[in-house]
Amino acid sequence: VNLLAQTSPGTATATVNFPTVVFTLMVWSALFFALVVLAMPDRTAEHRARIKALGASGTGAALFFALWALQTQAANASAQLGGGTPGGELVEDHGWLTSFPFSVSYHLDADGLGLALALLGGVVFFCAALAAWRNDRRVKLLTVCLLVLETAYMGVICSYDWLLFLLFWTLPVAPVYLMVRAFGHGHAARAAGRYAAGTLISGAIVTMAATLIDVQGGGRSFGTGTPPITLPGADNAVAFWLLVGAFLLAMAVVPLHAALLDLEEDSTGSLAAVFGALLPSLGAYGLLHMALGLFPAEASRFTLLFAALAVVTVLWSGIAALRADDLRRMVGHAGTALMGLVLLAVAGNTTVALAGAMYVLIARGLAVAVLMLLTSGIQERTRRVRVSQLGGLAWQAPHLAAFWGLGVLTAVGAPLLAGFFGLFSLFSGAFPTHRWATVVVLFGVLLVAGVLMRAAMRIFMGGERESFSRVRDLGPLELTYLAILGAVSLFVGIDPDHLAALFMNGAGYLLFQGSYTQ
Amino acid sequence: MYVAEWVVVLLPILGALLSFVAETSRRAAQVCMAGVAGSLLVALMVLGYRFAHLTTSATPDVSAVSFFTLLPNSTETTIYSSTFSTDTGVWVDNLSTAFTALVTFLLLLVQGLATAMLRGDPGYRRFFWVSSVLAGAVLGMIAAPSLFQVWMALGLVTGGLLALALHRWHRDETGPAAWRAFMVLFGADLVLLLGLVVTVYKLGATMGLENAPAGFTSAPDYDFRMLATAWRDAASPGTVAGTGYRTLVILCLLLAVPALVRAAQAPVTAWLSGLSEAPLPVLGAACVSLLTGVVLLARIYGLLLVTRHALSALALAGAVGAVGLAALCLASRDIYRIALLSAAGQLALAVTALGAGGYSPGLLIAFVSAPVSLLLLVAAGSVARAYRTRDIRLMGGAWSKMRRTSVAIGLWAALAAGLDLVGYDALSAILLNRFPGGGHMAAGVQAAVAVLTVAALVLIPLYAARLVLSVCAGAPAPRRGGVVERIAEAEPRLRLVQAATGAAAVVAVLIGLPGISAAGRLGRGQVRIPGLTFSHWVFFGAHRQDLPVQPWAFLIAAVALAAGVAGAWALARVPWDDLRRRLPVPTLSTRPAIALVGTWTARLAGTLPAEVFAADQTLIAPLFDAPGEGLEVTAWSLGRWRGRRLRLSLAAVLAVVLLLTGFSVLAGGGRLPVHTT
Repeated sequence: VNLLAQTSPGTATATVNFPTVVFTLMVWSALFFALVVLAMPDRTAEHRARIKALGASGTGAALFFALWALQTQAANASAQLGGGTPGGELVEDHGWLTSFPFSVSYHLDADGLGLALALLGGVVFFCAALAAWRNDRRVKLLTVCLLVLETAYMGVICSYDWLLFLLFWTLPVAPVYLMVRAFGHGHAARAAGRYAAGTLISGAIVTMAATLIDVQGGGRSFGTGTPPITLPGADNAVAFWLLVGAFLLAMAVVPLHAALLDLEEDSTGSLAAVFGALLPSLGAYGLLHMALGLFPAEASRFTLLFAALAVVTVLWSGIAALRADDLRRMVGHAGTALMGLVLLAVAGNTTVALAGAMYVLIARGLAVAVLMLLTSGIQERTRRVRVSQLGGLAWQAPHLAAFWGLGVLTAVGAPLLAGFFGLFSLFSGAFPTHRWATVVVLFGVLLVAGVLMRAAMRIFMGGERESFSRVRDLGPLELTYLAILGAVSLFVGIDPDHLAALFMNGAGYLLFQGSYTQ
Repeated sequence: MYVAEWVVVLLPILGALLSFVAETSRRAAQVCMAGVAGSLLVALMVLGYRFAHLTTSATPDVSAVSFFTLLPNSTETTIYSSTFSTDTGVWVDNLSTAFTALVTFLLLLVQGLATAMLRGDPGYRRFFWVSSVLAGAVLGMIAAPSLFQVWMALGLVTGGLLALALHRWHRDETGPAAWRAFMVLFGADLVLLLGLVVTVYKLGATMGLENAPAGFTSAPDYDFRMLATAWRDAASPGTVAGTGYRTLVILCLLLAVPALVRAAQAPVTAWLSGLSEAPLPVLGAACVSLLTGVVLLARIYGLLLVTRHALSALALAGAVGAVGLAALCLASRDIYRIALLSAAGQLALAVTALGAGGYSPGLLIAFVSAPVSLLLLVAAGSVARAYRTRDIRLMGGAWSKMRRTSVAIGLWAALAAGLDLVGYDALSAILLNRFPGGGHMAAGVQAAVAVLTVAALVLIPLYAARLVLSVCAGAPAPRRGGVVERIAEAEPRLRLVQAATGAAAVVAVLIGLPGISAAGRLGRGQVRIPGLTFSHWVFFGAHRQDLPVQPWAFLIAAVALAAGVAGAWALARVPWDDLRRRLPVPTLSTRPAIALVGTWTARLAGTLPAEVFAADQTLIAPLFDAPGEGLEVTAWSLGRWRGRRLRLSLAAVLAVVLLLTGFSVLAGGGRLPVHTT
């Protein structure tokens, strides 16, 4: 772009300012590919192959722009140029609806938290698109829904305007509902209905909160980029708790986790990976960015409640996972338990804890995605999904066993994998505020590790079974997308410093907007 | 030169990575062994260089890079330093150079052992690359410049040990044992993480005020140089806000307990002894990894010193563990189990000596006991292979069938029983009772520790001599399927490993001999050797402890040795099955209570998850049923008119529209706080 703006030396040059469109491309590129896919036929195998290729390209494009934004902001943060806080060089803010009593703008931006989730989402969607390659049933529907869901995901984390946020927040209902109904099994209808109901309730509550904030705030602007907010009287607390309720519902923490567990249990592998890894992360984003970011004072008053919720979530889910025989449900419970760590970070209310939560969100997402994809692989190969019915699979599928180990180690924070620095930072940040809760949650991690590792032993170890003699190991395609997920986990684990400044800036922005200085 | 220590740590890992491109398992093993051997070579060079430059323990050379830097908000600097950062790299002092050389040598021997014992094993290649990674992790821990790197390296050690413990993953008994070991070690890692968290919470701001070491723009948290000062400050009343004796005790517990777990000290020895079904090289690697526990204790010694009673408690824990582990060795019949428990028991004496203020003696015991313990493991492997059993009751007559292996076992027994002076070192530290920075154990504690240690020193020669007599003396016990004629000497490669391990043990003992301070000269008189005695080389602080030869300690150790051997001689005449009847086994009056507690714990552990899971299904899941089913009914109703795909889409869209409309109506009716202009 800059080369195009240059003229020959010696002549007067006119400055040409091109609008920055990285976030726009990150959000909408997937939808653009979805529209193209909609216009394509899917009658023959060749048609379907083209659609799949477009699906992978769409998710790949979003990943590319997410990495671009992440790297740009990370470099700025390292150079102490403000990367990781909104309002940087990539911000897009244009008037949208200005003729009404309130104004709405097309405002896209991302802080450290948003960029962390953009990285996670980009990678997981890309891998899910690759994982869906072997599906030959309703290819167009799956591809379009996946791309629309990615648009919604990226849109949520880039929206800095309430209307835009609400649009993207409720957008996943349709694609998720359709995908679960069309590709789910078991009680897919019930799972889809529960999820849709939960999301719609969550959307309605966020709408109420946004309306309250907008009207009582007196700004007449639907923008979310001017925190912290102070509303008159009890409205502050009401708006805060509305947001907290809505986002806890989306995070699927105990006792609101049933809908997500159903969704994970009754979906196919690639979809379960997306749902389990990303949908709760959106809830966590909302809780941190909206509830905590807009109302830091309110959040700091109720840290004990968040700590208690974190303890309950980690212990309840960890113990329930111990008993769960269904592999998907067990992984789902483990994922829910790890989401309790984010609640602990909110309770910690320090920049170090929140930065740790960002690493943990990445690690949790990667781990759940890997384990869900592998669960699907196991189910596809053995026609079984109950842990008690499995055993000795490492004989036939050693790579599958190895990647399961990688997923487990990522989840529990093994050194040099994505979770390890996150756990360290999160606990270091949360301990000063809530010592006992931190200790209990820390040993909840041990519980999760025990559950996942014991499952690994029962699934893969032991004598060879005749019934699984024809089970095959991971193929090249599966190895490819699992290796991508593993490589991201390794990169984040080996060089956490690359993202540290970015995440710290983001966390500082959430807690100390306006007064935040490095 | 000290930058070469990076090579020591990274070369084994590089070897492990390169082994993946090797075509055959044999070549992969060679690549891994070359990596460890190269590491050993460089470690010896660094050791020699340091040895020749008269450097004291207190002046480490550090080569480190920043691992992470977090900049908390300025309002949070009461909790953290203004730059919350830590470093990773290599810390070259006398302790790390000595132990890196030892560990690389021992792990090279373990890999050599594997070339003989795992030949044809399907996990041959896997063992080598995992053991190389484990070597890198152990070396990274020993040469860690910061507590953070210690935690990180120990996490890798946990992973490596898990992978090794799963070597025979296809056997049903392997999984549970490996899982238990993983849970214990991972739990210890989490306790250590909690120690790190408490450290930065209590001392972070203090460390931030210290002067940054050369090469750093700010003081890295967890750097041992920073920690040493911070621990001292914390012990001075009023120097560090919010810290006191309680803080120090908590820190001691959080940092020392993981160290004791790593060293497989009682009562958490089961993670090690439970691995006894694993192949012998795996057990060898696990034994070498025990050293990390003692090194961690040495690294936090400054904290233990400034915390009143901490060292005394450590000495007591070590002494009790030493007696308990020696008694377990005496009661065990599995030669592998005896070897593992014996290794942990020897380290218990190291812990005792460290607790008694004998920093150098404690580390010397660890230094000596590692090759000695490995010697028994190697010999045990040869014997178990030849006799096709691990039960020492079914052995015998090895002296006539396996002369060289018997010599190795005899050498181990002689060294372990007391000739390696481990017992003397522990006793001398206890009798001297002088902490490096001043202070000592209370007289009562000293007496208790001394009595327990003497008891352990009697039991050790007892089980050592009994093992020698059971295995080497007499004739092979007749048993079904056992063919006496087939019992033959170990193959040459195993004998080579035995010889090398035995030589290493003897050299380690010689290095530890007290009172040798031969200042010699090397080369053209420009390189001086400060002394051969270990305690002149590895000591706490800037000045070495004055450790005089203690005749009383020597005498007591000799008497204990004699008593133990005599006891073994007497017991050897009693048949195995009669032994149990003749020995006075105490009946604990608390046994029923313990059993009851155990039963209830097991019942709770069994039922709690089931109850929680049931509650999850019956209480929480229905929360979403009503709204979910409402949507379903809507979708079903629409489906009577339209195609399926459209029906689903319409249901979702309709639900959104209905909700939004509902809220609009509420807002219009003034039931929502919406302002109109």
